[in-house]
Amino acid sequence: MLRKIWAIAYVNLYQTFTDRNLIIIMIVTPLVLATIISLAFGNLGSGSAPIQNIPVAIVNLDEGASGFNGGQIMVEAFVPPDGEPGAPASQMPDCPETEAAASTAPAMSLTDLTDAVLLDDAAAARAGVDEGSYAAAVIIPADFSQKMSYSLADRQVEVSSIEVYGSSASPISASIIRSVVEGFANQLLTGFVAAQATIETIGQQFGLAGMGAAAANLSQAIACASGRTIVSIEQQTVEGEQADFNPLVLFGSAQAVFFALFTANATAATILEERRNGTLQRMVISPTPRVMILFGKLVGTFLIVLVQLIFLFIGFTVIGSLLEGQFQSIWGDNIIAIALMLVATTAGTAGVGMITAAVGKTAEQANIIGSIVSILMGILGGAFFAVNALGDFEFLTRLSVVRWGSEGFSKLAGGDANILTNVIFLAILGALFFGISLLMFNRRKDV
Amino acid sequence: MQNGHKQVLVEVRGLKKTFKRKDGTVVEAVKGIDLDIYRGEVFSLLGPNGAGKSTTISMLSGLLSPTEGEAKIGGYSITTQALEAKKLLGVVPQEIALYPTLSARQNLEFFGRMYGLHGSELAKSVDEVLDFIDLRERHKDRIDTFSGGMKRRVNIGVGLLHKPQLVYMDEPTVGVDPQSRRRILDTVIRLKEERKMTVLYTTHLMEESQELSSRVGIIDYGQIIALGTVGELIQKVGEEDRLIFSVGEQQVPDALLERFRTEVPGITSASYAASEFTPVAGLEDSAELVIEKRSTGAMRVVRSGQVMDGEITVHAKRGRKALPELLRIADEMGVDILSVEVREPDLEAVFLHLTGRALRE
Ligand SMILES: Nc1ncnc2c1ncn2[C@@H]1O[C@H](COP(=O)(O)OP(=O)(O)O)[C@@H](O)[C@H]1O
Ligand SMILES: [Mg+2]
Repeated sequence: MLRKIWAIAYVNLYQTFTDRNLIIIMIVTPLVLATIISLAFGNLGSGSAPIQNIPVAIVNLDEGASGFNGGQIMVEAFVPPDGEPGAPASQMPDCPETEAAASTAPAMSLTDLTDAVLLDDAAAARAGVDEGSYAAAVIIPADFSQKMSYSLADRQVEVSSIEVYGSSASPISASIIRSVVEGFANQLLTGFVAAQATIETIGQQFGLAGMGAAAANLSQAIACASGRTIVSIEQQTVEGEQADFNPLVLFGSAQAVFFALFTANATAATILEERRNGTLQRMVISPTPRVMILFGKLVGTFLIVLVQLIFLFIGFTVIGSLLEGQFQSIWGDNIIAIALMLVATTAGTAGVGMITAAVGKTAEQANIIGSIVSILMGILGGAFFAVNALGDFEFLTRLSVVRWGSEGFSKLAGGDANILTNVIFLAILGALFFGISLLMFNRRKDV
Repeated sequence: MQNGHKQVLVEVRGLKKTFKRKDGTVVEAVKGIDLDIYRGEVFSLLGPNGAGKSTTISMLSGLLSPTEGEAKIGGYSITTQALEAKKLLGVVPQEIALYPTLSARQNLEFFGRMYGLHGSELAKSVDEVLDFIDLRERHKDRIDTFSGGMKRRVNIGVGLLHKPQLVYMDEPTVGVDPQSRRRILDTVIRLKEERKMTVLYTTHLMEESQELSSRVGIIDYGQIIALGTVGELIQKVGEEDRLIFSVGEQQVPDALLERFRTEVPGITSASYAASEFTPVAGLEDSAELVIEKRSTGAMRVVRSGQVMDGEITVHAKRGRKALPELLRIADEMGVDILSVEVREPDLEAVFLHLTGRALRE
């Protein structure tokens, strides 16, 4: 029986780690982002960032779609809103400044990394790159927003076709810009699609009609917010000074659990993809009890998330150490505590993944439910506002793996190895969620 | 379990499946099937699309739980002794069910492990199956680089890995080019002849049933409406041939049909049918309209009220013998026969006889 569980898990592992796109999303993108953020962050190491003010030309040809202009959000990330006088007036309400964002200046933003100029003409921008005036030209196509709406319709996040025309004279700068743009577009798209889908689902569930306008506003806000997370890290005022502020620590601790949740949801949802492909049916008609199939999926999900977290941890550590010029572990030096937290976080998120797969009827539905659950857990975990605002409902935060995970990693980063509660809660949540998902799967008589 | 000298391998009693759709409607996909499949035979379930073939296969393989009824494989109940029953069984599903990014070998190995194979035993089974489906050279290539026919072969191979006594094949030739189809049919024959396997084969093509099966169950609207050897079933419609004369757009006088019936020996019936073109509501006034002609698939222009695709159908005891006389009479009456088709009694005729519909409608 153990052989079968391992065989099922192995197929998942094999599929994941031979899929270049998945590796990029799971590991490379977070590492590249972390690197860029660190590079651009002025007071790291020697004091001045090695790369700054990359000259970039931006051309926004985006015509928008149903009251939404993704290109404009992107432009505003590169060009300060009060910046270039030549900028065409945006036909769209700008990304609303949230209160939090307004009161705390971003610790770092794309505008530090780049020196962006807004142009009208794609050809002129490319010519500028060829002449050496810009390291890269970013050309947002006319159908950028429209494509985002399409991808909503088929519940598929399609990587959009923003052109990054790089200069061969400054290849490094050009590839930094390329990663930033790709990361930004992905984030924008994911946020937008997830928000739209969430709103739509809630609307359908509760029969709320006429949510249209509110929905459009809300999804724009969420898309803005998710776009912004990538280009600026809100400076968190941690009880006073921020002298030793290492962006990698902040980035790493806050994002690790989210990345893990994302991966766990996506991996567990492969059980639904397998139902569509018929390979799940093939397993069910073999002499293999269903419980074993689910255990196989759980082990697969667990190992994939664990590998991801370990790679991220090592990656952040290496990058941080290189930039600092000395060894620096982002989550402290208690290896056993770090290992425990990694395993516990993996268990908790894998349980969440299994439950979203159990609730969903299709992989797309599971992904939507997954993003709703992630957002909810994020809210309860204090990722969006201080949780003590919940008052009597504080106990709800105990259901959030984000709370236990990010709190644990933050403790470790702060030199506090007292993480036993976090580990125990993560393990209990993982087991609980997996148990519930087992019951739900077993209740379905037909595959 | 003995029936004469035959041993029953699959025993189906009162099997029913009712689906509840989201909109509240109820679909009785399978309405109570009784069936015995004997060891070593190829049994085919023949029926049009939507007859309930796949639903039956799914219940008999433990994917769907029956609403009512019971089935046993080798004496093991598919509901209460599912693991034992499943060990005896290999399934080739209607749709290709493989991991597209894994190689042929990796797919075979994975599903082999699901049947408890491992180590050298697994490697040997995989090699044997690769030889059997003739994909030894491409074993390391990913499934998504394969042609449709090759995927079908791997899909079949997966069902044979653990050398089951019994294989279900659900419409394995659907959407396959003629060459691959021939190959699949030959595979079924080899499974029976060389490996002495029992095969439950579903199809909507009577030629396949007729060629492959020891016995056929004709299934329609979730019920088995006839069951027996091909010969037994054809006896039900009598020994008549069916002659079909195409006359295109010509008018056929009743006198012609009357002369067919009275002057030619062995004719039991003669009838004429044609489709008359009626334009779509609202377009009656258009002088000419384009419509697809069924027999050739070509597009052509027809007028409202025009008669098309006229056919005279004659049932005769010995059709080929009667043919020259029939053609002579038609010629005398000034009706041009555009083409003639002689159908010996076949399962198609049985289905038509039992349901009044053609199988392929
Ligand atoms: N999961 C399901 N839900 C509702 N109806 C179904 C489902 N599966 C099959 N049916 C219906 O049951 C009938 C039989 O389908 P099926 O067994 O697939 O036929 P066949 O394989 O002979 O073409 C069809 O009318 C089909 O629409
Ligand atoms: Mg079918």
